[in-house]
Amino acid sequence: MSSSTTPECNCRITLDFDILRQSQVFAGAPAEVVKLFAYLSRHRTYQPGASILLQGDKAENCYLIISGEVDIITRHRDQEIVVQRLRPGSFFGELALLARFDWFFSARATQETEILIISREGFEKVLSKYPEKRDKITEKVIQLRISRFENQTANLLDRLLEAGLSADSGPLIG
Amino acid sequence: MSKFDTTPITKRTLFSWIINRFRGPQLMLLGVIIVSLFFRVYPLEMQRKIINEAINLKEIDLLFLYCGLYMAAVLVAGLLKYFINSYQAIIGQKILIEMRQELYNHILRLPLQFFHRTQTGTIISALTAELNAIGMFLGGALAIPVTSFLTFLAFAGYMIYLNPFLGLISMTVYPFELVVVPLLQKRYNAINRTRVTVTRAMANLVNEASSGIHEVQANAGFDLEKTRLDRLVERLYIIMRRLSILKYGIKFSNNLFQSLGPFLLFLIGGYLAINGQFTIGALVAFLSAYEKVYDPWKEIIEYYQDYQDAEVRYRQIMEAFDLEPEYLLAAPDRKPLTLKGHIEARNVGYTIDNTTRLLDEVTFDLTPGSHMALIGFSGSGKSTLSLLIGQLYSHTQGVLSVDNIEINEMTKLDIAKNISFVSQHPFIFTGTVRDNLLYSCSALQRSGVLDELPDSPDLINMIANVGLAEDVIRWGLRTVIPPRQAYPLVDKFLRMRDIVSSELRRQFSHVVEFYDANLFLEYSTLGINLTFSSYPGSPHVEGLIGNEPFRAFIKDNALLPWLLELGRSIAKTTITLLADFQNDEFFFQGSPMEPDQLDSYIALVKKADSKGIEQLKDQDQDRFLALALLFTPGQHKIYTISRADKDRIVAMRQKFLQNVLGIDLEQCRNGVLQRTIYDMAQMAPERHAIFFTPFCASQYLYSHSLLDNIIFGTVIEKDVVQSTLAPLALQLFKDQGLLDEVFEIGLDFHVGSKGDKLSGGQKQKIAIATALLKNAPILILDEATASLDNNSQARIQQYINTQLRKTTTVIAVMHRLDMIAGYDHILVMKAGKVVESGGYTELMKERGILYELVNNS
Ligand SMILES: Nc1ncnc2c1ncn2[C@@H]1O[C@H](COP(=O)(O)OP(=O)(O)O)[C@@H](O)[C@H]1O
Ligand SMILES: [Mg+2]
Repeated sequence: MSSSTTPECNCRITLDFDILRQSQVFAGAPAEVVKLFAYLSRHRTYQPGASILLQGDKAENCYLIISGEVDIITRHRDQEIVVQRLRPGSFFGELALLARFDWFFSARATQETEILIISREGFEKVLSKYPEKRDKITEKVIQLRISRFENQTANLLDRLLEAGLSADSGPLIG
Repeated sequence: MSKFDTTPITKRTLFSWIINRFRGPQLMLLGVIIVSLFFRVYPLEMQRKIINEAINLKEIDLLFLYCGLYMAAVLVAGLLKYFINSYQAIIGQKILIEMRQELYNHILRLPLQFFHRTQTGTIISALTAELNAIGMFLGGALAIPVTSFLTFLAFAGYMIYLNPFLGLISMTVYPFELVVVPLLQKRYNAINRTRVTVTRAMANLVNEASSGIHEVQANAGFDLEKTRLDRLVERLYIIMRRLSILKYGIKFSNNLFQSLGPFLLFLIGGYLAINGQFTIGALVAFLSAYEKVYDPWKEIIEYYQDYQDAEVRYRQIMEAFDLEPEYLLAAPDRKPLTLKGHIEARNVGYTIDNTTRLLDEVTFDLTPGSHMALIGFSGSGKSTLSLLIGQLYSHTQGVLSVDNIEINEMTKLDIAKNISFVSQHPFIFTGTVRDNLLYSCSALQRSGVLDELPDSPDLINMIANVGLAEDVIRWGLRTVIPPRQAYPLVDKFLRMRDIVSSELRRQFSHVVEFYDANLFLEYSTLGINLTFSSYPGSPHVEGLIGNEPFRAFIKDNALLPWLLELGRSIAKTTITLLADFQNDEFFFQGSPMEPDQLDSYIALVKKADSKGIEQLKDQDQDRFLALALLFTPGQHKIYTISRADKDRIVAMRQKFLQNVLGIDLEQCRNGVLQRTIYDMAQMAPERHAIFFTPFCASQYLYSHSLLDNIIFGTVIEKDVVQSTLAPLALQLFKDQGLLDEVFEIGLDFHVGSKGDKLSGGQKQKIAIATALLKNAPILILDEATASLDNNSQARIQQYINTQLRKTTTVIAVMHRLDMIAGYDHILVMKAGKVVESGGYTELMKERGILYELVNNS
């Protein structure tokens, strides 16, 4: 089943602890906090093409890719547009940790993909024990969001430019 | 109305309940009381005779006779008192039953506006605790004062008969009390009234917190709620303290006056006796009589207090509900109407509190069988209008009629028979899905309007019509079917298991852990991993630990020390990581330990560390064993065991199956195992005691849900399995000819308190089905499909457009403008007024407000 339980490992928390420790959001957080997140997170494996989250559904969890590959998709004018392709080590849905909202994108596994899931409920509960750590982690989440935004915009603009040039429809940016 | 009393219930006096009801029994009680009086006075006379005649004249025979008579009278008086007390309590409870029933009946029929302004806690508190307190008083309300008064008179009369002068003197203290006690009581009553108010506020608060428990827990509003309650608790304490002080103040003054009596008696009576004007026997009898006179007096005072208390409560209860139901339940002179469904509104208006006008000048005319859509912005009065047509509110201006009969003149039964109403936020009752679906019809049947309830095919049909079929299948799948119901279907269920296993095994490989005797089960407890069976209480392990063959097995195979060590390690890691989180269950999801066990495990680990785990008492060892056997690697992240350990467990499991249960592994895997014996054990448990039921392919697991049985494994990701499996299961059940059976099972699904286990959409579908089953000529839907997905909305709209066309007059408040084209008439509302009215195409052509709305949405 969950292949994180590698045969000889005696240490399920330790494994996730290491993964989280090296991640963008939790790097720098104290070990005891990361340990709790590792304890409360769970693994889930998705088959190729399986939907991980759906635009319009309630956002409850944040996801960290352990292996595989994930497409971030936005529906626009009844068309699906892949805005980004994420690889192991990337977070997505991290805003769900901070606020309640409905997903404004969908995520889908392009191959067999293993993901570590942290729920907002767990996040809230841990940080209510360590309120002084909240600011730091929130800042990291927002920074991550900004770099993601830059990335996606660049990605879209690249494609726009390519499309614009090939269609020879004149300059896109005046 | 009650058969006893034609005044409205809330206007009756407390005593009208007593005087008008159970007169026979109360009269009999009175008779018994009067008889008992004689037996209470008689011993006094015997006392006098024993001293004056028997002892003085030294007559042994007379002594025996009088003593015998004395004893007999005392005994009879005691028995009568016993009878009087219990009989009076019984009468009280009988009156209380009627009072409660009639009041509840009255409350249920009060206008909706009453419920808008009255909190639930008030109603509950009034109908339960407050009425109970009155019940104690009711039974004795007539008998006690009469008894006490007569007893008092009897003893007082006896004293005056013995010595008029002395008798009158000892009576002089009572008038004083008649002044003092009521003064104190008046003060008491005033405080008592605030007590009732505060208690109700408390009931309301608790009721609100429990109804809104989602919000409380989601916002961690515990302290907030507690502070609110604390304030009331504090107030109640102050009130109770004052009440006690007053109550015992009354008692004290009573006692004080009372002790003046003997003082006077000894002084004056002694003087008379010394002077020979009074016999010793008479003095003794006099003293006894004086003592006795105190009892009824005390009773009168207590009765007076109880009466005041009951009166205060009673008035407060009745004041709370002092309102008349607006409509009769049924007309006395005719049967409930049978209407065609011609609805007409002429200048209908609705004003509340005499000033606020919620609706104004609403006019429309709907022929029987035509369909009207109500649209408009939120707050424009659509719900209000539909409530008026449903007679849940009463219009204040204009004419609103069905088949030319004013709605305000119809009875509740007329409405119930002819109008089905689905509200915006339907209420689901605690009970099964079936109970809820049949609610409207059952109510009509009870009132004699409907002969027969819809039968199962009708229900199943309706389930499909409103798009509830898959949900019902899903509920059926979640049910642990009682053995007797499952047994005849087992063969078919097992065939489905085969199909699911061959068709879905690959697709489900990540979301289900299938049972396989050769594989370690990450998502099952070690107990189940070792035994590969279900057992009484599984997955809990108390039964397993107490099972002799299992114990012997783990001992003989040297598993016990390993399991104990494992239990200790799990306990230690849990304690290290979670000691600070003891009050939050959430953190314990990754450990087999429960939060409330933490402290005892801390002590246990200490003990084990100092003594050595082998030295622990059996029951302490069992606690470590329990942790180990409950440990579920896939779920309990707190700990992990090695591949080698897992392999060892699988090997042990196979040994257990073969040696202890005597099962051939190959047969178990391939599904050719004889299974009769396990079925028999379920059907006749008294004759076939079977503890372990193995997870063999041919074995139906009676203690598991239908889903578990068909999947034959542990579901890891419920959402995926449910969404994929329900449609497939629907098809499979159909193929196997099992559909009706599973529908029946699903219909018996328990929806939880107020439908807690249902989604908003499921609640709406059930409410719509309930209304449609009634088959009334008029159907009112107030945004009845708002929380459904698009497909379900379209399906139900389609059903209305086709099946109800021409047969049912439909008024639907619509929130989706893309679905209104099929309606005959559109009414557009704004701020309580109709701003457009007409056919869809006609209005769209006019390019007015509807056109705007449709094109902007
Ligand atoms: N019991 C009531 N007391 C006072 N105002 C009410 C009551 N019920 C409804 N209202 C008011 O009447 C207006 C119409 O409400 P409603 O009929 O529910 O609107 P709609 O269903 O069109 O959204 C709203 O402004 C609402 O606040
Ligand atoms: Mg409304």
